Amino acid sequence: MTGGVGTSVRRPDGPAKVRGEFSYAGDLAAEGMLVGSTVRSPHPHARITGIDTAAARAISGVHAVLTSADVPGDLYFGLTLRDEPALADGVVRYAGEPVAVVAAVDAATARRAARAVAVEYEPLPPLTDPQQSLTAPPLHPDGNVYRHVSYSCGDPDARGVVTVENTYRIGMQDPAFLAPEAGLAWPTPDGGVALDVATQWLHSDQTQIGWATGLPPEKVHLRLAGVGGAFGGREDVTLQTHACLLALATGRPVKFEYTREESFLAHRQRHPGTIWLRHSADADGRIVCVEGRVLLDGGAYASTSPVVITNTVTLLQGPYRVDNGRFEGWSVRTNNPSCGAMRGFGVPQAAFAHEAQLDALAGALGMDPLEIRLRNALQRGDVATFGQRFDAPTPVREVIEGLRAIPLPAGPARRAPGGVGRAAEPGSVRRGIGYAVTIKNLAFSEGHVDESTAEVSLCDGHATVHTACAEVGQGFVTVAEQVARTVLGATTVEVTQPDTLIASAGSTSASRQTMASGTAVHRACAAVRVRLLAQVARRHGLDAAGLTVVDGTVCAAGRPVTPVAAAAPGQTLRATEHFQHPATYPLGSAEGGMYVAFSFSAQRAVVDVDVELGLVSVVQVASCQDVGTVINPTQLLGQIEGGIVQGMGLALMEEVVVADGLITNPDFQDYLIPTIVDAPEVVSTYVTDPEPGMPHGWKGAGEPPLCTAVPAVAAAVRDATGLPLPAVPIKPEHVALGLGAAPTVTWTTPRPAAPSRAVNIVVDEEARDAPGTMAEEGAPGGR
Amino acid sequence: MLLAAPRFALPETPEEALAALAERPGAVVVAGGTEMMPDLLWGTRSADAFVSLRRVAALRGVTVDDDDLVMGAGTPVSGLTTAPDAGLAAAATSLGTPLVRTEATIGGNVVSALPYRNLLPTLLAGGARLELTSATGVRTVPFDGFITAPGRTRLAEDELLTAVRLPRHGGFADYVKVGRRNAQFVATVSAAVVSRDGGVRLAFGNAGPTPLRSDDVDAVATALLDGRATPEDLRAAVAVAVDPPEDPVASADYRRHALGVLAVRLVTRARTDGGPGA
Ligand SMILES: Cc1cc2nc3c(=O)[nH]c(=O)nc-3n(C[C@H](O)[C@H](O)[C@H](O)COP(=O)(O)OP(=O)(O)OC[C@H]3O[C@@H](n4cnc5c(N)ncnc54)[C@H](O)[C@@H]3O)c2cc1C
Repeated sequence: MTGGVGTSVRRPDGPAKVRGEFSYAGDLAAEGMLVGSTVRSPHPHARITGIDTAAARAISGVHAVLTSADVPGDLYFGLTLRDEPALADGVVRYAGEPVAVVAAVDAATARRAARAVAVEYEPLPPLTDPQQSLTAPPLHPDGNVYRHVSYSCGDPDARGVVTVENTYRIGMQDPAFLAPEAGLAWPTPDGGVALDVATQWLHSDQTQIGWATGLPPEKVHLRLAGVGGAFGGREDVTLQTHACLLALATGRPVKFEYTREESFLAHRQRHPGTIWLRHSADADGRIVCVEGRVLLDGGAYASTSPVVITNTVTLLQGPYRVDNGRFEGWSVRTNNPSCGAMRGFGVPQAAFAHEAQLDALAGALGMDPLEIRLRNALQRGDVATFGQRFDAPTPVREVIEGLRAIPLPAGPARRAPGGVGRAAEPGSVRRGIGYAVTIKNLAFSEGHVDESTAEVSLCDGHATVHTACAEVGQGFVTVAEQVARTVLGATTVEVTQPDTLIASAGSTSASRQTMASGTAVHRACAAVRVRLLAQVARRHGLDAAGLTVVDGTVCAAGRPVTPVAAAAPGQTLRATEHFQHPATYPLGSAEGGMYVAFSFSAQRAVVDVDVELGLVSVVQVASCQDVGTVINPTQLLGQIEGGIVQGMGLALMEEVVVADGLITNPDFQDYLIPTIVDAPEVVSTYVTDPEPGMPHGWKGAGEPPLCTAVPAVAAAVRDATGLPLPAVPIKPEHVALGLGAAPTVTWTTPRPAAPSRAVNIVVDEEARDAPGTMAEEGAPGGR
Repeated sequence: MLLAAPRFALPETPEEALAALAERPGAVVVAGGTEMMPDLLWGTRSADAFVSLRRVAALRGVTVDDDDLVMGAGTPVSGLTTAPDAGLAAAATSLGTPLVRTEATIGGNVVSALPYRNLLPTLLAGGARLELTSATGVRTVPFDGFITAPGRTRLAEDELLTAVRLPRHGGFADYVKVGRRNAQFVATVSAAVVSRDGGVRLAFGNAGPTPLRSDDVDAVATALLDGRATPEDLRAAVAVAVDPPEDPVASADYRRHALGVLAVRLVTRARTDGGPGA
């Protein structure tokens, strides 16, 4: 059907965005609006010995200055552990932590007032080394370890003929969305507060605002404002609570809009980490055993650190069958910036490490890199190291074969390494080809309820779809529209602005919204269709069971009866439906699996490297991804291309550099993200094996391309240079000066797994109590 | 004068600009503003008043006289991308983005005085001279030595940079720049070359606190051009001459190494493309 599932429906907001007319959250305005500003700690760790707000209050045009003493409700918030104060509570634990907020008549006055807030600090030594955090005195009453995960499976002492081991490092990546955080709050006549904000999860914000304001959820009204990118960085609360507190305190609308620097300071970054991995394989390249240890720096507050670590640790096995292994990891507290959700959610770290190991194994055994991956590819029915059976399509072999079928790029690159700098010489450039295959879990996990609700109404062929699913650019708007056309035969579809008038859709993260909110929309459309067909049956004296909707027309036994648009003139048919994935369980649970679903992705990166200078140009990335079904080819390609470019950013240039707890590059001059001139040619193919239990067989697609691009690009640079390159981002000096240790290869006497040892999962530490909103909406744990 | 507000002047001639500057204590000159505006936004600089050069037509444009390419200080960088000097053109082409190049001026690039700015190595290698104008007249000074420290120059408070003179030569000139992506980046390091009459002059960006050149380096570079020295000799000479910064972008070791590589490549290009004395 035109505009239905499977077609490249255009985004409704596309033209406005291209023309620069789209209204982003930063464009929000209201009559009588005040402007908020935040006083932030300049210290990564300090005791606050005094806050004097008198001078700030005395400035004409200042309406309120709030500190932690002015928070009427519960000061503490957080997505998982609720360990973070809305405004500093006597101690600051990272540079940039909000200490006070002010509202004034305009931005200049607000900034002046913020500077006039006198905060006395007694600086404390910052703890910036995550390794030391494990043994250091606690930085917080809740301790320094967000979560410790440890388990084994099979016989971890089993050995093949060869063992490779190395330690890998991943830098801190920033979501670097282009539109800085912004929102507008105002007091409502019911004594509550309303907030228009660019966010990923309206209901989580609503809950957390409720804690601080002391308002019940029904008095906290949220609506999504125009979002300019998110990538996980808008999952945690930043200005939401401050704007609402100030609106309530002043009785006026209050707007916040962060500067670029504040944006870097305030939102969560991707966890930097260290991963030690040891793989043992037999002479055919078959993996015998994997041992891994992960240390992620979670920074000052928990955010989703307890969840991210589980993703990293459990997916160290990669998309390969691993019968024997031992895995352990910690996410810890430091005085570095807080880390949390970012596209890939712990998996890019694991993927970078396990794929480097697979290449090292292939190198040691003299095998082709794709051959060793094929030989170990997971298959449906295999059991993961964490005990879950892969009981849905597991097309690892298929994505690898699909990738292999894509021809290599012919001819030279569009850009020599170094681009417009023109430093490269033809003779100094070497081409490299690298491969990577990854596994990504989809949707929330470990018992966290993954659900959504949709309300669909239909009148004269016009459908209206209402959910709380935050559109952050990923294309849910077109998915909802396409489903309404295909399932309901709607002629026109409006997807309304998400808000909290309807039940939670969960976060726009974890590659989950098509699966969750898309399925809720599908169900609501199907329910409306039932009502519509019942009416048509009655009117035409037909059996409803024999009616179908084809291309906008109600048909009986294939013959048209009436256009949907004319089927029930003037009547509005409405249905609200809920969808929830089958339950998941914490790591180690005997009751069931941790994860809802998985996606597999294979990529081949071709790079040109100026080896002497260490400059890299990515020529092409070819991708074959397991996507269930192709709902919208253009939107899907957008996800693949965007994920690849963001992944190559992490591989080659993107790093938040933190020195003594201070971000040295909180701006786009020094935090480099790939430009369009850096973006490689992307060739994208798909394996479409429908996901069971999902309408249209769909599954999430947004995170895998990033997870795979990081190791693929790194592998290609290794291929071009012959260097081990165990850290990303790869800096020019790593290549030019040959920095970084090579994996240790040891030839071993084979030691088969002791047959008695079955899957045996030991979880050393349970998730804590004092849970935040992820748990509030479901069971403890993560996703 | 179009606009004569106390804090903001929009003069139309160099004379008006100088007068406007004299009348406004603590005023700063703004040309394209691509350096000044970010500084103001980030609060790394403040000013009591502004004198904009935007309307001073006499400061815009490139002319050629017997000896020099004469570039008005207000000439936008986009106007230099086709300059009849390959080094200058390359430096202009790789500066910022199309948008920035339209606004950014050569005068602003020179007076910014930061060691990593694009145009500076080409001006240094090319032996450029600067015309500095005050109410009392014009003085011409060599660019070499004009920048005394990062962000500091020998420009007097009552002076404007009015023109940049780059000697014309029939030789070979080029500019290269190293950074971590393919476009829109600050030079980690950069280098420029002018090779004429059998002699090579190299200059380096971000190789020290100010744009840098060295007679010793040029002697070895000239010897390499003639086949009397090896690339290793030149790299060694560069390594001794430069004093690059160590920062989160790159280590001093990498910069020293990369500057040597760039020097050798530029001299090699001069030999193959320019030919000795070409
Ligand atoms: C996004 C972006 C990317 C950039 N990329 C690059 C890059 O790749 N390479 C690079 O070199 N630079 C880059 N820059 C910096 C800047 O664009 C250049 O240095 C530019 O040449 C500055 O010129 P301007 O006219 O805008 O300077 P302005 O900001 O107007 O002035 C800069 C300084 O020079 C003084 N000044 C200007 N003209 C005169 C004059 N005639 N007499 C006396 N004083 C004067 C001003 O008072 C001020 O102190 C970039 C800037 C931005 C915003």
